[in-house]
Amino acid sequence: MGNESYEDAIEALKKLLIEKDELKDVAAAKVKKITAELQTVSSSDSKSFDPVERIKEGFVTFKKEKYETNPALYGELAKGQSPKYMVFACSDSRVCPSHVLNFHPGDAFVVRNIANMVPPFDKVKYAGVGAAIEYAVLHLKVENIVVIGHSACGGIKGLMSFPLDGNNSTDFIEDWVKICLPAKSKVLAESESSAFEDQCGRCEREAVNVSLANLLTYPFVREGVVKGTLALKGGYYDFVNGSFELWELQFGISPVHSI
Amino acid sequence: MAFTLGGRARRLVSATSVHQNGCLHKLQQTGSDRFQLGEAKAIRLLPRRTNMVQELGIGEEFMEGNRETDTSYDFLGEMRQRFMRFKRQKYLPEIEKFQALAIAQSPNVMVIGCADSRVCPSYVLGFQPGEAFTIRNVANLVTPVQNGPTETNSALEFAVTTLQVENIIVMGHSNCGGIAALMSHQNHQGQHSSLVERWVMNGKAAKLRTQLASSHLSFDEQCRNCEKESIKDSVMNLISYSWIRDRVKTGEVKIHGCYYNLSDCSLEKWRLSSDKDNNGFHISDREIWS
Repeated sequence: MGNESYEDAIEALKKLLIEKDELKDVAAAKVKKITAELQTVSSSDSKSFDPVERIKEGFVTFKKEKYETNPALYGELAKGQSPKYMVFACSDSRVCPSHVLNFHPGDAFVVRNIANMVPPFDKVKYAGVGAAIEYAVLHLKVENIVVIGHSACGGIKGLMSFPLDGNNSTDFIEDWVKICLPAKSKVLAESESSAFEDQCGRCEREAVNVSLANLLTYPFVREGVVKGTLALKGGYYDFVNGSFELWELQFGISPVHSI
Repeated sequence: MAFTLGGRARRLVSATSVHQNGCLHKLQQTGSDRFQLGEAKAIRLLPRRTNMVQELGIGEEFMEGNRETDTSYDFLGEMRQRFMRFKRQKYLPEIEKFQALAIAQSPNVMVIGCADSRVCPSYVLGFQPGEAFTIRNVANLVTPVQNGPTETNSALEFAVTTLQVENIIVMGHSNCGGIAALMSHQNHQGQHSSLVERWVMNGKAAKLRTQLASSHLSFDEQCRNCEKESIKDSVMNLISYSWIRDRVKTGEVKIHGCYYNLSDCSLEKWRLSSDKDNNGFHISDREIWS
C-alpha cells in the first residue's frame, strides 16, 4: 500500500464498486470512518456523533462569524427577503447550494427534494412544489429559477434501476422519481448500449430538462417567461470532477417576415 | 396565446477547471449576448444589491452585461464567481474529503427546513458537505402518512430506509411567510384560491391551537407561536410513518425540533422522547442558545 498513490486507490475502489455493487454498504461505512478521521483535529478519543453538540457548535460559529459581523445585512433580512433566485437542488448532503454556489442568506429561495425534480402543475398532488414556485414567482418576484442536478445522484440511479411498472417496492420513492420518466426513456433510446454509470450521468442532465419543461406547466411561470420577467436555467454540479455546467431554456419570437 | 413557445435547452458554457481556460475564454466573448430572451427585448430588472456585491466590492466583472441593454446582467459571470469561490475555498483545500464523498454519502442527520432564503440549515447550523441530507419546502411542513405522497415523504423514506440517518431535525423559523399566509387565510371551508394557501393549510391544527391560546396577542406574536406549534405538528407527523416510529422506539432514530429566530439570532431546540410506560412521546431537553 505504501507505493500506491491516493488517486490509484480511489480508482481501484471505484472499479471494485462498479463490479461488486453489494460492497457499497461496506464502502460507505469505511468512507464514514475515513471522513471522521480526516475531520478530527487533535483528540484521540473517538466520541460518537452527538447531533446536539454539532448543531450548537455550528450555530454558535454562524452567529459569531457571520451574524454579528454583518449587522446591516441581517437587520435588513429580519424585515424581509427579496432573493433574486429560486433554486431547485437535490436533498443530497453533498450538494447544498449555499456551499457549491456560495449563496448567503437572502440570495436564493431554495427547494430541496430527491433528484431536484419539478413535477408538472397539479393542484392536488405535490402541491408543496406548486406552493413554493407560486410563492417565489408571485410574492418574492424572483428573476430566475435554476434547477441544479448533480453527479452520482441516488434518486436518478433509482429512476434508472426501478422497473416502474406499477409494482412498487417503496411507499413513496418510486412514485416520486417517475416524474422524470421521460428522461429515462430518452437516455435509454439514445444510449442503450452505454454503461449504466454513463446512462445515469446522461439522465441526471436530462432530468433537469424535464423539470425545466414541467416548470412551464405552471401558469404564472409561463406568464413570467413570456413577459421576460422570469428566466429558467439548468445546472449540473459534478463533484467527481469538480466542475459546474450551466444552460438556459430559451424562447423567442422570431423576426416577422412578410411573405 | 397567439404563438407557440418553441423552447429548447441549449448548453451555453461549462465553468470547468483551469485546464479548459482557453475554451472558456473564447465562449466568454460570444456568451454574454445569449442571455437575451430570444428576440423579445426582455426588460431586465436592475440587479439587486446582494451580499455578493458588498463582499467583492464593485463587481465590475459581473455587473457588466450586454452593452445593448444596460439593464441586463451577467448571470453566467456571477455563477462562475460563486462556484470558483467554493472550489478555491472549500473543494480544493479539502479534496480528499470530497473524493471520498464522491463515492458515497453517509450523513448522520436529515434536516427538514424552510425554503426561505434566510434560513439555509447548512448555513445557520454549520453543516458541511456530507453531513446533512436536507429537505426544504414552504414552512418546513411534514404531512402525515394518511395524506398521501408528497415530495417530502419520498425524501424521508429514502433518508431513513436507504441512507439510514440517525437523527431527524425539523427546523422552523421566525418571520415565516408560509405561516403568515396560514394565519391570515380566512376561508377554511371554501375553495383555496392559491397553491400557497392549499399547502399551508396542512398547518391548520397548529393555527387553531395558536388562536385558542393567544388570540389576545398581536398578529406577529401569534405568528411566532404558530411557527413553533407547527414544528411540533411536523414532528408528530414524522412518527405517523411506521418506518420512522419503529426506529424512534428502538432508539435507532432520534427526532429533534428547532426554531431559529432571525430577529435576535437565537436557536431554541428540543428532543422528542418516547414515553417509557406507554406508546406516547413527549418533548424533552429543551434549550435556548442565543
